[in-house]
Amino acid sequence: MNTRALAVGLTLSWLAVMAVLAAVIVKTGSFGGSLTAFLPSSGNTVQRALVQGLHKGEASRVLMLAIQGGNARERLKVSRALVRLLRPHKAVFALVANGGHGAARGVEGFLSRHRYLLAPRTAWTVSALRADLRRDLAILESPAGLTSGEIMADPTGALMAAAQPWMGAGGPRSRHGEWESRNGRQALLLAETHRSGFSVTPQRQALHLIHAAFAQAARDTPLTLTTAGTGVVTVAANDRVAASAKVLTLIDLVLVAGILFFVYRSVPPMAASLVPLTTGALVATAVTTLVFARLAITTLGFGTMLIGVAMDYPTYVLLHMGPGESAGTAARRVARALGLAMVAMVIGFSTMIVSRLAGLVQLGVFACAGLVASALAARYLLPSMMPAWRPSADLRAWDRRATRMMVLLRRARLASLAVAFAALGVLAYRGHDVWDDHLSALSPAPHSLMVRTGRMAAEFGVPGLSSLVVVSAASTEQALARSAALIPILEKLRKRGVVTGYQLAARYLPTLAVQRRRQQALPTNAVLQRRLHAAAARMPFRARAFQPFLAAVAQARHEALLRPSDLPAPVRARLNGLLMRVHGRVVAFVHLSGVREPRRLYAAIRASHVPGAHFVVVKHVIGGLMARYRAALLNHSIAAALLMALVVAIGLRSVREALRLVLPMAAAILTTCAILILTGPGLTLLNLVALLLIAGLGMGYALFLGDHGLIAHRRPLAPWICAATTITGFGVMAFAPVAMLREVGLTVSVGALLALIFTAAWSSGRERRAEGA
Amino acid sequence: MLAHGVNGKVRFTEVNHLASLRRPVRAHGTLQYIKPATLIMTQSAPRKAVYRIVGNRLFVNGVHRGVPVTRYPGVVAIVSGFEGLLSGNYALLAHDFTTHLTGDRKAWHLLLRPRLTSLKRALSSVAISGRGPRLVEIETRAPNGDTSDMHILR
Repeated sequence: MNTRALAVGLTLSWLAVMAVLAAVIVKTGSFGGSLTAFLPSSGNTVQRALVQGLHKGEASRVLMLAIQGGNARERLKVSRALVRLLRPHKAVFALVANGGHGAARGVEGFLSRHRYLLAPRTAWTVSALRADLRRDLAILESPAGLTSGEIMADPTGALMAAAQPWMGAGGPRSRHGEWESRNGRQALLLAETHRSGFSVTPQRQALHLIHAAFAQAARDTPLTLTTAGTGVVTVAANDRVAASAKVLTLIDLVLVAGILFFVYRSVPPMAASLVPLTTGALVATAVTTLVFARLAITTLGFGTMLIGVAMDYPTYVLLHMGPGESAGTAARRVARALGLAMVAMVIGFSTMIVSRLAGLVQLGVFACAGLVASALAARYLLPSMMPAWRPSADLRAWDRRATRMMVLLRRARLASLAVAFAALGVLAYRGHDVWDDHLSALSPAPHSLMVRTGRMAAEFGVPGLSSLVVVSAASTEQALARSAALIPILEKLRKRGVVTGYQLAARYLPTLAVQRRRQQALPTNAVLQRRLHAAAARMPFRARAFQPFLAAVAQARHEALLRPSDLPAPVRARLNGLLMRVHGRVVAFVHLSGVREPRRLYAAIRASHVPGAHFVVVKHVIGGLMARYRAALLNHSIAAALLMALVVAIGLRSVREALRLVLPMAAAILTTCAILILTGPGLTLLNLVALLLIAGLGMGYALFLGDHGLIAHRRPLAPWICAATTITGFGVMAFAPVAMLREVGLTVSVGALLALIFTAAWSSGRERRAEGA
Repeated sequence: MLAHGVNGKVRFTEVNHLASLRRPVRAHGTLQYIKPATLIMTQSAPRKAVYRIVGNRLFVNGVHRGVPVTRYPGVVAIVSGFEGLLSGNYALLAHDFTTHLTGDRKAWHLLLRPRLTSLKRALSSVAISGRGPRLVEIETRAPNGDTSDMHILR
């Protein structure tokens, strides 16, 4: 009775500790929910800038909305209502616009105040002024004449010139100042979020607001809303994974529970089987959130997968209970083997902690913390939680079957060797062709959505994310100057149709030098007055009509030059996406839309000799970064494997036994790789992480299959049960509709099966003698 | 019903009093509205010019690249007025302006006042009068005292 009370108390305190850990995670944890978050934070300036730009840049934060159906009037009405309903959500949206005016909202005042520093004009001669006045008079005498008040305040058209970058030459077509699609059948809107387009929760919130507003605005109309943009893709990808994961988890749970029920014939051990993995995952997450400022969601996913090995720990403990024995006795019996497996893996994964890639360091910490916690939970917590439980199922027949199977497999040693060499041949033959480093290879987003986003981006003239020009410099001023030097080249390219548009910070904020030049070119009040008088000769202007203009120029001559910190919020927001500080350097982005001939662009930027300017194809740079991460992970895995082998050799006090253990595992991993390469497009990071899990699982199989004196009364069935649950669990995932889950499922289930077969085939066979005796 | 009022071309005369000019601008020429969104104004005086407003772009003298009418709030007002009235899109008109219709079918008078702040800055009111299906006069008043009177002739 006493032990039972203790068990209940222990279980309750365990639950309490887990709850506290969960609270710590929720309270202090900051999750980076992005695909780019796990990209290395190292790399050259261009790569880093690109990752940062992709993550936070304007292009990723724009949501594109299209309203279709009904007639033009209905669409216009709903489009206006949508803007009205969404604009108050200032915490979510940086900008909501359905026309060029909306896009420049909050900017007009700034542009007007500083128009003489922002507009690229330096000629203030009588003839230049006369040309302006002629044009003004033509406007005044035209149907537009009634706006003379504004025209005379700015007779040189400086405001128009200053607003030029905001009017968006490449923007959508507009009608009455409001955007519509080229075929005129859709009303278009833009919503720019504050948070990154790769962050799931804020994007989901933004989309929810948009759909709710549309439902309200379009009530009783036949209109429908289409959304596109990075945020839409992010949310859809997330939902897709979550949806299929939900169903698969359910199927998994039923099947795995079935296997475990067959083994234990009782519920408490089944529930207790979850204790080590749960403990490991929560402790690992808590430790990682406490050590690092930000936990990449990828670390969470990959890390949980790595410590999935802990699902085997309770099976090893509980299956080693003899008749009438307590779980504690069994735990003591397998403690050395479990400990060795855990220590070997922790030492192996700790090589990641010393790597220089931020993502890998996190993964290493997570895996180590998780493995230690789950092994300790399996050894001490699990037995104390169920002191009274005794196994009731008679599995002796199954034990004999497992033993017979091993005997058979040992006879097929040569065949396994042949398979391993064939796999090696495949890998050698495919050489460097085995990796697939595209981000899209990991993206679970539906293809049709990506296509829709591309099409709508073209319609909106929103810069694509496929390629851009990056200009790095030592200071903001230098970055602005260097990128500004590209404007004539880009303009030429635009006229030739190589690109349809471009966006760069220098168009919104000229360099201080340029502003100074423009300011110094402004004539004094007396000179300007004299020149205006001469320029307006024989034209019917009233002299006093020029007063506002004279005052504005006089003021501009003495105003302070504009710096990034002086800019109003919308201008600064625009600039933040185009100008970034990356590790002590300043990087200016030139966003391009409608890139038709990347080669000519590349050549033109190269020929410009602007220092620090590079034309980059994002896919290649990201591919390069992925390749780096993957290569580092691979190198660390190999180092980890060697270290594991060394630890095992020390633990078993035999190099021979250690080789027996490690080589079949390596052969299983190589064969899995070969199968994946032969059946799929190539290996991705995900496959690599899955292979690491296989190494962990295989280590357990090998330790519990071989006879090396670590475990008294070894139970040959245990590894088979472990493998059965793993293969069932991950095998179900192999049928997922999402490529990402399918890859992992396939890799782990095939790998676990091969690891079991190979390690069984090469395990030291005392059973045969035992059986023969 | 109004939508059928303008068939083909009509002639117009216009007198604009502008605060910035010493003398009034006297214009005349022809107007042509083509459904759904094109208004062509051919001025013979004070200078020969063709203003073509397609959708929301203003094309002056047949040049290829039009400028957005949004640059000229005055034009936006007139165009919205014309378009809303002539294409029968009265609801569209009512969206941009408060409308006040007086008179009867034989002689009617429609007073428009802008709702949007951006329009209010450039425009106080647009008064449109007509007889039956025919537009007769458009009187426009700007906040700075500018006025425009356009007469549409048969």
